[in-house]
Amino acid sequence: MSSPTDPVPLGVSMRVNGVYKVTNIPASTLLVTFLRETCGLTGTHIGCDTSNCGACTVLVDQHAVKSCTMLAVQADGAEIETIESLSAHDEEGELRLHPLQVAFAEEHALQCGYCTPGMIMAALDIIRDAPELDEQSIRRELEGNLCRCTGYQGIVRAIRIAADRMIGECAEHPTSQPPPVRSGRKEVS
Amino acid sequence: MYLADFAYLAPTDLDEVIRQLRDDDRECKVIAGGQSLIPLLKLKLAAPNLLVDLRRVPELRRPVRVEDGDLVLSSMTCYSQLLNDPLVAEHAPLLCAAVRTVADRQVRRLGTIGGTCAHADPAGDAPAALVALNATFIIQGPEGRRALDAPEFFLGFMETSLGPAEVLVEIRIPSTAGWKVSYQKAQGNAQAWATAAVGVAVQLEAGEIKRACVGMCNLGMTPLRAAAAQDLLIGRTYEADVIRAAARAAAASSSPPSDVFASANYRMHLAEVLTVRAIEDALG
Repeated sequence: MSSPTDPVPLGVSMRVNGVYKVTNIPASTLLVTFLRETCGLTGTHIGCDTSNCGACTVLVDQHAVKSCTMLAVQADGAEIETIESLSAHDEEGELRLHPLQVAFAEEHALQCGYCTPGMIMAALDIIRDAPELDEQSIRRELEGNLCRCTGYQGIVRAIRIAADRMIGECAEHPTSQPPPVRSGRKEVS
Repeated sequence: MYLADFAYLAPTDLDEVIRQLRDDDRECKVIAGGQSLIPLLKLKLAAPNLLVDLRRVPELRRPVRVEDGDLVLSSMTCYSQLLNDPLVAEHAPLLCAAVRTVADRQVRRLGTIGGTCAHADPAGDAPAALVALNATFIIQGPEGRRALDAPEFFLGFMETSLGPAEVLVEIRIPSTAGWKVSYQKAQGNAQAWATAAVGVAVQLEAGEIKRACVGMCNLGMTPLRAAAAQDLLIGRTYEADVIRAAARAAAASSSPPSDVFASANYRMHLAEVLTVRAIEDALG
């Protein structure tokens, strides 16, 4: 007979990119493993697996965290946003990228692209916190995300440009409080 | 990475947490934000059979408040909450200066003030500031509540006086509103642990130092208070030889470790340099 404290799978429920996910997982499951293997959302990358590089950055209840250093059970009941939530197809079937994704492409802010999902999710958190950013504050706030190939010039430029455009979008849609995020609403289960 | 399996509980009241920790004869670990514990689980340096999560305990998540002249922080207050709270900025500016240098924004979102103290890594920034500021640690266990001063709380390298079934509930910090502060940290890169760091808070009256707090990080097996340096500063004004004497006294009261990042000698040198910088920055 199992006691209530045996390592049996635990029930968790989360809203991942707007879709409710209710499932049983071992308590030892990392949030990044849950997202990649249980939800099939492989846009969130595992880089260093030691909470240094930030490739695994996702938003939990609107704030950036490193999903390789959080247990999925710690996020029980939370709202998760991953890179997959940022772009969506519009009514005409055309892919609509998020302003951050557009700016990253325009400013050559990626080369191999491995760090990009984490960079963009961290940038989203930074911009939501304080949309009026100068270069120095972007560099300071981005200290938890490492890029090992393209360097930071384009990344910092892209974030500043995207922040300006997102403020613009907010001015056009005054009811939306934080800069709007387009939800992909993909089924994950 | 896949972690070794463990059982997990997230009780909703403190008594239940303590009962669980007391009654379970297997190896139990308490998890707060997990920013120190999860890396240890990955390295298999910790291999608990049961993890007891504090995140659902309201008593450990009370808002930051001021009581009887003390700033009171619940143990589950995360770094980013603390940095955004005007009461902390007003009443414990040195703690803010130290916490601002901890890791990065993602880690500061999950890491908690109680977690870093219970983990007691001598390279922790917040514990050094708390020791400097004469904080009191309120602990609850099967025998009830007790209050410990920092030197009684931090016993050694990753060692505290928390018993196996005790939980850090809150930290009380005497207000240092209006004091001048500086936290100077030497580190390998932006998000690294401190190679060494020194925090200084001084209360000035007409240019004279009335009271002084000097805390040292990663300059001993526990966070340290440089009492001799403090004594040399009190009653003095901004004078180069006073600052140098205080810095030498701080270095002399350190007992730093040697490791792959720096030798004990180099850390001793840093203790002096960083103390000079911190005092100059605070007074300047």
